[in-house]
Amino acid sequence: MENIIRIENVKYKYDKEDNAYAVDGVNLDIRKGEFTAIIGHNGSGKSTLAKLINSLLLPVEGKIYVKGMDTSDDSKLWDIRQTAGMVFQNPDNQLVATIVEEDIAFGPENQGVEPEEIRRRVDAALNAVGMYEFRKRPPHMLSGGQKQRIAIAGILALNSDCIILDEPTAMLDPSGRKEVMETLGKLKEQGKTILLITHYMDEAVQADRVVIMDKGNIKLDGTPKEVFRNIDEIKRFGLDVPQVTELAQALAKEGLNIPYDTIDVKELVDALCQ
Amino acid sequence: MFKNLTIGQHYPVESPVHNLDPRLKIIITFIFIVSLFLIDSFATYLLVVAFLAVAISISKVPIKFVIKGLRPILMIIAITFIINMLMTPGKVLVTIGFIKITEEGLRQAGFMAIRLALLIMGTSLLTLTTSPIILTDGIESLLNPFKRFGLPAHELAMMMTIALRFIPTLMEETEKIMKAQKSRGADFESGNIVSRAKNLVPLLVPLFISAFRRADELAMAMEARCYRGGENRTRMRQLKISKGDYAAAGVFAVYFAAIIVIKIW
Repeated sequence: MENIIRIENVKYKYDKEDNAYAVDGVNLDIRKGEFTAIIGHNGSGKSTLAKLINSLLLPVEGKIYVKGMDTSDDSKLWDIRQTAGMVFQNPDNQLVATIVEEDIAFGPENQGVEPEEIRRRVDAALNAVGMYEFRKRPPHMLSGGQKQRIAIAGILALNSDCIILDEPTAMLDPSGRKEVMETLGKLKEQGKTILLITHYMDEAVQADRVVIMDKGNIKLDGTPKEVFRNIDEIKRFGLDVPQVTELAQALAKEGLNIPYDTIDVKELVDALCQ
Repeated sequence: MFKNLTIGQHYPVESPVHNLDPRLKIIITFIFIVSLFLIDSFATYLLVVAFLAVAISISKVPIKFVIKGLRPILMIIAITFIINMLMTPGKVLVTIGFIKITEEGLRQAGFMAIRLALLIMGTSLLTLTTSPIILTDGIESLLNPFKRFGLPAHELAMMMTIALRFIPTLMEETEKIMKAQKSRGADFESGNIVSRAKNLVPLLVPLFISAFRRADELAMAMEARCYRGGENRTRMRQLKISKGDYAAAGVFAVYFAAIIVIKIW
């Protein structure tokens, strides 16, 4: 498959005086249509990486290509931001307009899209996140999960191929988190590339690929099964592992015949009932 | 405390007045204000009252909402009335000590009070029948021709939109901070004005810091969504002049012509 995002040996630090790099020599290719979760504790450089892809920050060293476009190329800036749309952590601080549909129209309006086409895109985006009946509401009357879905719809209306989400569920309650994750699942089915930055393991388990970052570097990279079987290593990075995996491995150590890479409750139940 | 906050005083119903083009409504409101200052007899006010009554009844806004709009400026009307009554020289009607009330004074005071009341009722009909966002659209569109002279029309409208968007968010935040400070013994309610103002500092400092942080994040989110100022920007909702607008403009033209004719006569 084609690589939609290509990160080549990228280094970044916020201040010239800083000794350590926030992102320190990262190499990462994201394939089209892939759902990747990036996890890491605070300060691991995962949010910085997201901003680098969206060209909100520019690498100190190395190159990032979005659909073949160099993020440090000024003339491609708006194409890059359109291709790789970004959803931020705080739903309140990324909605611009006082009416839901107006907010979703904000992106295409900035691109200078024709009014009828904007209308069409806004309706499609609202339907894709299941918020069509809320289109006339003011955003402050919505729940956190709903606001975050509106933010995702705002990116969909840009016609982005790739959606980068920077801890979109960190400020949400469990039901809001579920709403967002279900929405992402649907978008993946529609062929969108999703890059989810999170620190919830149960969200990472739902991805096709998990990347674990620590101290600005990628430590582990693979399918959820491949990554989460390394419980001890993951714990050394100050991260949790999915509870199911931890339980499965504890049982396996006691001599039960359970695979080390169990990441799913159903999988564990099946293994136990054999 | 801020749960039922409505921004502006928009009364959301469907009516021909609500559906008018916001630009037309703004222009009509301006000329309406001018017309009030052209009037120099009590009888002519009847025409204004009739015009307003028709407009209000078509707008389906309950009359008590329009009158409620007068409450905040009741004091101003009262002060204007008293000053005009006492300061106008003329034929003395009553003398209480050094206070003299003249016939001309009474007339002038009544005149001013009615003018102010009608002015507020007329302008509040604009905000009652137009949602803030549509009003902003209208203002932006009306200011567009002045861009040539360096007026940042788009930026002004964007600022208004963002301000409207963040009023409820910041209100909620204020309430949260107040509760947090109260739970740690802050006192916002007692003491004289000076000490109360001092007590507001621990409320305002975190509120401002958070507002700056929000502004920073919002700017980044706007950039990520390809915002690059007003140039080449399109709008989803286009303002269109409809038949109703022509009708309203016609009716208003007749009203304004009548006021001018009476004035010259």
